[in-house]
Amino acid sequence: MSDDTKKKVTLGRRGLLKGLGAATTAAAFPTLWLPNKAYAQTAGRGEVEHLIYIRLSGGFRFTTAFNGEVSDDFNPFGRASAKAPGTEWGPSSLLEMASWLEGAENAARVDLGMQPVTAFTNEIAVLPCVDHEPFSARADGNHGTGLERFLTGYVGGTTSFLTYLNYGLREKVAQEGAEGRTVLPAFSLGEAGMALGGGIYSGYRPPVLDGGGFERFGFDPDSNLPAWAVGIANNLDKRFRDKVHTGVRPSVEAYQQTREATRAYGRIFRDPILRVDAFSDEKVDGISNRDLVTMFGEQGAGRSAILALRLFHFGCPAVFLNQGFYDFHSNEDDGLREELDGANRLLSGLRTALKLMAHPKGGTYWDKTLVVLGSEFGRTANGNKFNSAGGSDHSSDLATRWMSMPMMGGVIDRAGKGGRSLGQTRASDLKAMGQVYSYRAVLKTMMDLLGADHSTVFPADNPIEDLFL
Amino acid sequence: MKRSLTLVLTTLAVLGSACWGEPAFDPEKLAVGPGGLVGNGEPVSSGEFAGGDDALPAPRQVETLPDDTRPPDCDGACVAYCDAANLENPVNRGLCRSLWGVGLSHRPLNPAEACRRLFVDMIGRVPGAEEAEATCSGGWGDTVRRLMETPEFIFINQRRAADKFLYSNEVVNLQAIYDMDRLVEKLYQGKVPYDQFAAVVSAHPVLTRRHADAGDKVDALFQLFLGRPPFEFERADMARIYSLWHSGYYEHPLLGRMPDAFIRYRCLTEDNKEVDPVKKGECTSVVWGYHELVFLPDVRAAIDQQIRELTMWNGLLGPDEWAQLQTPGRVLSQEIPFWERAVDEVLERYLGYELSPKAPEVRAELVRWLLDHRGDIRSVHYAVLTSAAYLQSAYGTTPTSYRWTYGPLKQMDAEVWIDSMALNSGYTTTSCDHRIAQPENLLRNGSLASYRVLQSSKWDIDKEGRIDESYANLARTLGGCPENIVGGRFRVVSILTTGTQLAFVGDLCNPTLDDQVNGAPLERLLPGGVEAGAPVNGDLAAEIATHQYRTLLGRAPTDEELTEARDAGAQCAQDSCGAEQFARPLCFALLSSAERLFY
Repeated sequence: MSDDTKKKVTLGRRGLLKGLGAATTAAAFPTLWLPNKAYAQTAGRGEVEHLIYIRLSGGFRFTTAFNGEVSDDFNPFGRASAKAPGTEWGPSSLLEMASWLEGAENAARVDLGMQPVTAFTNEIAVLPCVDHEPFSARADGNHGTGLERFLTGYVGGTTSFLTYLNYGLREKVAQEGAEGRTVLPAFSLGEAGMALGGGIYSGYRPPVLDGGGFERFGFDPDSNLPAWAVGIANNLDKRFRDKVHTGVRPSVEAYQQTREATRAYGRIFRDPILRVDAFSDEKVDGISNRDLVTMFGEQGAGRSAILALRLFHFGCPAVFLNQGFYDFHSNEDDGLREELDGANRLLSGLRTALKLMAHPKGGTYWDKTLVVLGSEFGRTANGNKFNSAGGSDHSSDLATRWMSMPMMGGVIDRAGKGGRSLGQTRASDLKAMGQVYSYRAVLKTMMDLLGADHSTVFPADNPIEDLFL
Repeated sequence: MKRSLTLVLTTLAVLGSACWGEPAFDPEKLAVGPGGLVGNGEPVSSGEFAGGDDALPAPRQVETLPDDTRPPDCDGACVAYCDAANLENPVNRGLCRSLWGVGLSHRPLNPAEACRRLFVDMIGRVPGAEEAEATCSGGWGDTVRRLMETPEFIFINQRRAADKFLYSNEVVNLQAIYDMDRLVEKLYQGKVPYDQFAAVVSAHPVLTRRHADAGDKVDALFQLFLGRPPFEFERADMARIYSLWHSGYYEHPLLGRMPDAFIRYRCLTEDNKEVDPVKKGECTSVVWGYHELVFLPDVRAAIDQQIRELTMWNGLLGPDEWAQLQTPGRVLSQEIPFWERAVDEVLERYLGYELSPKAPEVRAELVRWLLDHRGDIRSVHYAVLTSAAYLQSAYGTTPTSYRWTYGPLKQMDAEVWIDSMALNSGYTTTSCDHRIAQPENLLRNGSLASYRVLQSSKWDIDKEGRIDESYANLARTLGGCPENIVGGRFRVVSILTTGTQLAFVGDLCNPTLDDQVNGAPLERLLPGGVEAGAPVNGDLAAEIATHQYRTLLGRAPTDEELTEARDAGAQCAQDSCGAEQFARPLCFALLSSAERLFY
């Protein structure tokens, strides 16, 4: 087991009340059976409208950022010189970096309200000990299987988290459709592995956007083709459908039906606000694309973040994106700073933008958005500050094991968990001194907060109620 | 200090190899691994397979057709009928007892449809009508043989192997991936029998480095070659052999640090000098015979800093050592289910459904056929591709719903769909390389050698080292060019994929004649001699349509389609329509059709 801290099995107040309620119901209606979905759910279920899930790619040394108050062997960069009042968890000195706020050329970002991460650590909750498999004998530090776990919850998992999420939100989406609104699904920006799913899940795989914008979904046959060409296209498809054997016809029909359905999505994808390169000064949801580009930049994860915020305008519930590349087997001593500086900018930009943006349903996007950072595993230097190449590796120890995952957003504020540490590690050897959470429980928590049906997902793991206790 | 030392040693190694006359780094010859040790002689069979042109029997006269809610019952008369049919093709022979022998017919063979199917499955693209007519002549046996001899047939199978073995240069040494690719080439050249292929794969770094612990490796091997997970006792037993493998990192002098597989020295006495008689059971498999696998360290051994144990890089293993490590694959190939799985895979790949459980005689015939051809997997491909089950039409109706009474209809792989569009229309696209799933990962070390590897691969890379991933991004949305870190290739119809396909065809055909769009060249969309501004009338419209149906859909238009084109031309003419204004929207109508996606 990853943690030998034993908890006494007790029936808490909540559990006791649930049990009494069930017993009373059973006594009152001994023959009445009411079929209903039973969720292990948190008090925050459905409180979040949008999720931004960021992967620090390649395996991230969490102790150099979000669990930094540990020995030098785990965090050779040292702890932050200051942190926001009320912060329990230990920010590393690397979270103080903010090159993007320095000098006159970056004054616009300061004017927009961006701050170093250490100025708002008290708005971030950290789960220091998130583990792939809390009952496993050792960490999974393998790139392949670690990433499989990260994206799907399991080794060999065939359905990605975002696919589960889209599936879990199917009733909500159908309801919106019945009311005449087309809402976008969750999107994966640049990670095809976040879009797996077969069987009942195959139709719920999230779109994957790599690099470019939405132009490639925006072709409009209605306005781009003359009527005679539309007629030929329709007749050709009809003849083909009629010609093929009935046993193989469903797949042909599916293609033809989705051609119709693309029209509604096409209208969204052609909306100018999704052209984030346009440097438009027009304010949408209270902020212009130009300001967003100033905050996040035009490239990489920053650009993905802007796309995410604009996708949210169209009802998109979640966006996944990769940031940086942290597989520093060498030169971590030099290279990590630059990568993490980018992550800091992303975090700061998201906090600032979300607080500035007015949500169509009232309040700000911050109120309705959850931002979570993770990685496929932690990293270790095997008892040294760095390995012989100035980097770190990933093996089976606790440093590899613990993913110290930060979360921020309105729901964290309302729960009073900003700055809180849900768990703890011993500074000398990273032994867990508090709660250990399974990674699947974190995924399920995100689904729960978004109000998704997770009754068929990760049956052995429950959403993390501790966020609301 | 240590890094400086590494740098010095690396420099010395490079200089040393130059001084001692070692061959210079050749990105075309990157393969290093056990695949180089096998298949270096002649093919195991002649490649001249029988049964390519069976005369297909008429259905036996029966009083009532079988009830398609149950498997058909082949009685004595049925067996005798099939025996007398003189079928040479093993699929036809096995299928007879579920088809002609019980009174059922196959659908007729439609030459254009069957030829298109063969092209897509065997060389990965849709042919134009002229090419199809020229290639698919002289009987199906000859046609399939000709297509099997093309380099594209090898390439398509190499790409499928990449999907199957989940090549990922983030997890496996690139040299090992190239070696595996070379091994697959030898398999499809007939130089490596299928059982030897399985043996080599079972200890190949592509498998042993890809999967985390010993049990995972056993799981993967069973899934790959038996199509099922191992039972617990099988897993535990075979894991003892796989526990010798360790996942570490290899420092290539030019390509930098790469993940790779290493050998651990297990089951030894404390001083590592001899086998520990008590521990050696932990390194011995006994379920498939007695297979003890223990290595003693020698000069090749070095301390791995991660696990602080002696290990040996797999590149230093000798042929005898590889042979010992390949025990898992060898023992599996002694099992009949191993051969059944081999033929089932080929059947399902080409038919698009599982025929073996429904007509087990087909599987039995194919297994005998494969063993008769000394494990040459090409013989199975040939048999399936020339069978009635594969070549028959997917069009029309049948009196029963038995799946094998009508032909396959499958969705194209993303790359096939894109590449065919580009080839048929003259549109320019780039490519991805199945051996290098993460090209950016290779560039990250900043070495010139990595740049040269990418330059000689199928990826497009400019002089400043920027990789053009536009093709890969499109293909990945549609399920192709898999990165293989998690999951892999998929085929699905969804709003996302359909929207993406429509937009791609829109760019290619440019139906709005947008000056900013660099679409397919007009001369490929118009018949020879027709100018862009030639005024369209019914006859010219029919001429353009005939040209496009043949080049873009690979078949001649029907009379109904020609009439429709004439009418469309007349409508277009009302707006003073020129040939280009007709050709480009027509291109979109044809290429965005379901007919273009399914085959």
